[in-house]
Amino acid sequence: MAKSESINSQVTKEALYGTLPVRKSERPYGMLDAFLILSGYAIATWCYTQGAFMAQYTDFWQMLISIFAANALIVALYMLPMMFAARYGIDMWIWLKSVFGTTGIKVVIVIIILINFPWFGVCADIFGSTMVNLLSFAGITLPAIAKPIFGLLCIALGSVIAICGPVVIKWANRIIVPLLLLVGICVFWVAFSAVPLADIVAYKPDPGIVDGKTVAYVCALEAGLASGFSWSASTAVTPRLCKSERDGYWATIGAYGLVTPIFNVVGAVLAIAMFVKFGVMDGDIASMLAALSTPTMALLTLALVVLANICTHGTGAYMWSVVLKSAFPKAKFSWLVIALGLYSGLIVIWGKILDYFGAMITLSTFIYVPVMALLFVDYFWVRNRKISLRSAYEITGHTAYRYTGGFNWVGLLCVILGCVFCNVVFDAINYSANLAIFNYCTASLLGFVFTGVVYYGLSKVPSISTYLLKDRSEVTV
Amino acid sequence: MDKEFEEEALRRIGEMEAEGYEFPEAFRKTDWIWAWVLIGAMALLMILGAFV
Repeated sequence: MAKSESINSQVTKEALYGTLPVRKSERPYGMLDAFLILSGYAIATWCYTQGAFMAQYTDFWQMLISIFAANALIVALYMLPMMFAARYGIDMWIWLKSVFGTTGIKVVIVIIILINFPWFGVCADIFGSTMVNLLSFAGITLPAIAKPIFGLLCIALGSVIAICGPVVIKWANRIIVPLLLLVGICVFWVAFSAVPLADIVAYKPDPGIVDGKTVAYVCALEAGLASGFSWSASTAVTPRLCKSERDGYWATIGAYGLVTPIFNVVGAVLAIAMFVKFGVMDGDIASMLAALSTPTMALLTLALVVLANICTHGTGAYMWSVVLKSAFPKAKFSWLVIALGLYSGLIVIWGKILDYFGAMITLSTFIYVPVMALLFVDYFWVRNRKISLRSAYEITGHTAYRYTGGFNWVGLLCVILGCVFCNVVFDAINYSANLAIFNYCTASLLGFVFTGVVYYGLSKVPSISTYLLKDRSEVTV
Repeated sequence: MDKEFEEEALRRIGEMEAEGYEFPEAFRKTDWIWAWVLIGAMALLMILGAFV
């Protein structure tokens, strides 16, 4: 009991005191440090699934462009407001109280975690598949039920790591990053040696997947933007620990705009190699590795994937439980970890997350898009890059961000409008356009502009401006 | 928010408000230029990709 209370106390301190402004003297990271840390987080095994998904829609050259350009563009754009993180040493959830209110932000945090955590369901699903493939190498053939059972095992082991607290997490991260790099090297080797490179470059996607090459390309762009947006909820975490604004910005661009796409491409090439050799497109890295590589290489890589995915779940469960705890300080940390574990467990039991991978990433993106658009406009044009830190930290007597019972209805309305708009433009379940305008600018980019324009326009209405800008007299730095 | 947290938050905010406090180095003019060049170049590449 004393040990679990001690861990709860450590995590409480980390959640609450970890949300305080980080002093300049406490910042540990330069650009290179931040780049390495972010890159380590960026190369989890879900990268390959992302790449394999996009390879269904495009040929080799369009695949390269849709992966690199879409990721780099959107990360470079939504990272611009994150300068506040380095300037004040605060996370985006502190700034976003100005957009959503002191209670509204808690609702948004819960929604963001609900849409983000399926990525860990993907990890657990990959783990299950990897274990089944590994055992098949030993001549053990298991029934279909074994895969979700192994997936649940991954979640359980990862949750134990998370519950053990920050010290164990630190060690897990020291293991996970080299493991993921080794996985990346192995997968790269398998992907580029399984079939001749000329066959990879000559690959053409199934023309029946969508109506027209250009439309297919834009669908791939949509998926690439979704990949870039999927990092957005945690992108202030490292910059607030950086020594300068440019360190945080460029380190994040490097990690999410360059390193992640490299691994996406490796996953895409692996899927293309699978198609060239066997006539089947597959998003499951475990089955692709088992089919394409030598038994020794497959065994080695799959074993690495198994370890990496346990650590990925542990780190993710810890991180998001800490975020939840900052919003709900009275909740017991271990219960938050277990709740998130049960959630990803349901996804594993459902068993279709890889089949609906596109829907998962894009439906969640249609919530990230309006949130990040609001942050962008709020930071640059509504609040002119300054907030009231006293109201953001809810210091007694400073209630500028309490709005209406803790909710900023203007911000919340804009998120709903933006989300609906994106879904009107694009059908994320069937991965097809609802409106022709999608083919020219994607739903994500259009939704970003739409939400930003609506919020900016509303902020110019005098009564709404008064409602939004109660904090101006409190702004000091 | 608990009293200890509030006191610490106020202490840190006060440090930033103190005269002579130097914030971390801001985004330089060249960073702005490179950021928008990157965004523009990637947007152009995405458009050109439709014709590949």
